[in-house]
This record gives sequence, C-alpha cells and structure tokens, in this order.
Amino acid sequence: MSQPIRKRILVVDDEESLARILKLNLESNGGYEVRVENDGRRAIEAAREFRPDLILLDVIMPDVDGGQVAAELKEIPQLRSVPVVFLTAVVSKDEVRSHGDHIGGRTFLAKPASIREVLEVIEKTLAA
Amino acid sequence: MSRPAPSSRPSRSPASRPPGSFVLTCDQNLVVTSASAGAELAMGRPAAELVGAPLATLLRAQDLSLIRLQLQGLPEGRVIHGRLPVREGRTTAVQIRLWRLEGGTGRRLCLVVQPVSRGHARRGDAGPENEALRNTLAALNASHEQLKSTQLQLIQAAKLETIGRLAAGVAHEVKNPLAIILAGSDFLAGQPPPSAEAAATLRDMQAAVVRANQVIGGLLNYAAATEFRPTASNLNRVVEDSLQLVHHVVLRKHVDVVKDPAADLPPLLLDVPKIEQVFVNLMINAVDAMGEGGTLTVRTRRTRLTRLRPDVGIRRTDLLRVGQSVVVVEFLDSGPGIPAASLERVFDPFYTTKPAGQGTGLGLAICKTILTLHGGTVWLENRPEGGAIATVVFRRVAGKETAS
Repeated sequence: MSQPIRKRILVVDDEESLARILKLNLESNGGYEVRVENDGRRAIEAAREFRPDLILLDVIMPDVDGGQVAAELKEIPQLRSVPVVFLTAVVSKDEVRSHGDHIGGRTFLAKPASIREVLEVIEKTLAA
Repeated sequence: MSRPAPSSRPSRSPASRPPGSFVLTCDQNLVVTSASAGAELAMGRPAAELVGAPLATLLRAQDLSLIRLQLQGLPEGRVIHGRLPVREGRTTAVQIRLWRLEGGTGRRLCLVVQPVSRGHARRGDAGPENEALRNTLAALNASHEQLKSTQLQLIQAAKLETIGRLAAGVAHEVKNPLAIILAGSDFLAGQPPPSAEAAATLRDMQAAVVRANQVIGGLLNYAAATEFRPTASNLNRVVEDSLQLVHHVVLRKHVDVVKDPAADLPPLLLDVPKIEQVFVNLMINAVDAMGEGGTLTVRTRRTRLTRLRPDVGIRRTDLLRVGQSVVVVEFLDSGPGIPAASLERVFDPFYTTKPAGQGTGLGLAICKTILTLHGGTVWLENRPEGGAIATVVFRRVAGKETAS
C-alpha cells in the first residue's frame, strides 16, 4: 500500500492566528501534515487538491459557514467520506462532554480546546 | 357610622329596585365581549344574550356616536351622559365612563355604566347602586393594576432577554481569542523551555484560560436564564425536589435539614427548572456558609408583604407592593451570617467572596434575574439570633387558581 505515513489535516477557521497555531501544534505534537484555509469557499477547493484524511472545521465563518462546507463536501464523491470535526465556540464543553463528542451525528470540539483535547478527538476520529 | 362596610361580594339588587351599575367590555368592532352581573339585571336580558351583541343594539344611536367619538382619541375616563334603554321601551339616565383596554388581542373597550337616579346618588351616598358601583370600580381597579403589573413584567422580561442575547454574543466572541491563547500556550509548552519560570508561566496562562472559559460558561447560563416558560406549579413540590438535588452536599457536610412547608399554598406560575436552580443556589450558599454541621431550615408560607427592600434584593417596586398577598420561601442557616459590606453587593453580577477560580460570582445575580422574570424577588439578611436568611418572594397569581 502506498498510503502516506503522515496523515493530512485541513484546518479551516476564519481566525487566521488560531488556524496558524493549530497547524503548528498538529505538526509538532501530532506529526500531521496540515494545510490551513481561512474561508469556507476556498476550503472546498483546498480539500479537492489536498485530499485530507480529516477536516477540522470552524462553524461560524462569514460567507460560507462550516455547516455549508460540510454539506457541500458530502456532494463530492471523492470527499464524501472524509471525516469532519467541528471546532466551534457555539457549543460548550459541557454539551460536548454530555454527548460524548457527537451532537446530531457530528463530532464537535468546543473552543477553547487544548491541544491534548484536539489530538484526542482527531486520533479517535481517524481510528473510527 | 351605622352603614355597613362595602361588601366584597358582587351585589345583586332585587328586580324591583332601580338597576345598579355594571360593566361591559367590547372589542374594536363594538361587539360585547363580556358583561358583569349587573348588566343582566339592568338591561333585562340574560348575560349570555348580551355577549356577542353589537353595542348598537343595546344603546341609543346618539350615545353610541359619542362612544365612537371617544374612541377617536378623546381622553380616557370621559363621562357620557346618556340614556339606557331598559325594559318595555323605557329608558333610564346613565353615565357611561369609557376605558380603553390595551394589550391582548387588539384594542378593547370597557364601559362602566352607572345609572343616575335623581337626588342622593350624585352625592355618593350608600345604596345598592353605589355599593355595586364601588364593587365594580374596585374590580376594575384591581384588574387594571393586574394588567399594569403584567405589562411591567413583560417589559422586564424583554429587557432581560436582550441582556441575555448580548451576553451570549459576547461569550461567543470571547471564546475565539481564548482559543488562540490556549492553542498558543499549548504550542509553546511543547517547545524546549528557556527556563523553569517560563514553563511555570505557561502553565499559569493555560489555567487562566480555563478559568476565563468558566466565566463565559456562567455568562451563557445567565443568558439561558432569561428565557421564561412558566407553568402552574406546586411550590412545596419544587422545594422538595430542590432539596433532593442538594441531598448529597447536605449529607457530606452533616447539615440537619428542617422542613416547614405551608399546607395552604396556592399554585404559582413557575418556570420549574429555573426556580430549582434558584433554590439549589441559595441552599448551597447556606450550606457553604455553615462549614461543617449546622441546621438548614426551609419553610414556605403565604403572607402579606410588610416591607420592600429598596437596596438589597429589590430595585423596582413596580411589581411588588407593601400589603400585597405573596408566597414566600425562606432558607435559614445557622452560619456566621453575612458581613454588612457583602450584603450590599451579593446580587451584583461577578461579586463573589469565594477564592479566585471557585465561583463566577454570577449565581445570585442569576437567581435575581430568574425571580424578576417571575415578578418576584429575593433578599438576604442576617437573623437577629445569628445566621442568615434568604427570602424568596412570589406574587400570588391573580384570578382563578387553576393548577394541576
């Protein structure tokens, strides 16, 4: 099998510095190959090119929000099965905890999340 | 004075007497929507027949024109001197006072019709008509007061909802910068530390973000507290359920609980989960204040308000009045009491006496918000015999007491 050693993660967040620091964290602490996008529309194009193993996706973004991005990805055959983890401030840690990360069939991480929490959820999702 | 005091019962004069005063309400099309008992008697028609009847079929055309004129914006309470058609084609002189009833569905109109009998009636002497009038006015005033206070409660609720939405918005906006700080300090923590102090500083920063996030969580709870879904509820049951919720804390701290529920409580309109939140908060505060051991007394009773606290626990006096019939829940503890300086501020948002990181200082502020939504209040004071008492005041539900 020619599967890459390093798994690829696409980080989408309109908070540029958060996306950039997440990339630093995921590269240095998780050994992932990371690409960053700050805009929902560009995220879909980036996903086509980059072919990530997982997408870490903000929800509230101007123009095209995370929900729309996820819906559009479902329409693209090559990207349909790429798991999406929503990293968002719209849910609380308590909500996420009480639902075991899954709310309405989606995986959520509540902001602010420590890198340990982010890595845990990513590893769990990739292993599923 | 030998004259008996006005009775609170609706007065019904015998049919042989001249008709007493009565009240009609109508909708914007001047169709009668309700008629007081006196109307039946005065107009010689059963009340059921009056409701739904156009006012035009009950009053003379010229009086109706005056009423219509008044609806065009003349000041309220103007008196129309008209004649009321009564039995067998006869008419009787009446004064008709008009009140507009705002709120509910569309504009409605209330007519207080008072017969003018020559002689004594004008002087406001005793007599069945006047007694009926007094009763009618008392009833009218009561419902007007009720309407006013309900309206104030709605305004208050709307204001609080705005604050709640604002808090939720702020909370969301603050979480993103917090996420950056946390992710950033996590990244730096993974780098070789330049010194032991640097590593410790990073850990402090990470802990600070967690704390800030807890405050945000409190703010979101506060925001959630501003939605109001009341149902007719049994207060004693809510108290009992709240006690169950703090049962483990009470056991752990070896606190004795004394319950003293009143047997005759009327049902209250309560948003039960929120009121439970209030009671739990007050009881936890009481238990915390006592340290190890002590007695927590929880009692409910109906009473009349003998005072308002203008500074502590209540700012507006619009919703509660001295003399008003209320239901109270009291939480008494046997702790050291509350320092005077704290008493002034306990309901201020973010005020806390707990060590940093062990409480957001929003608990009692949320309690007060919730009770304000209920048209009630809460105050805290020290008992002369030692310990503190938290008093939660609920307004009685006006009108019929219909609860499950």
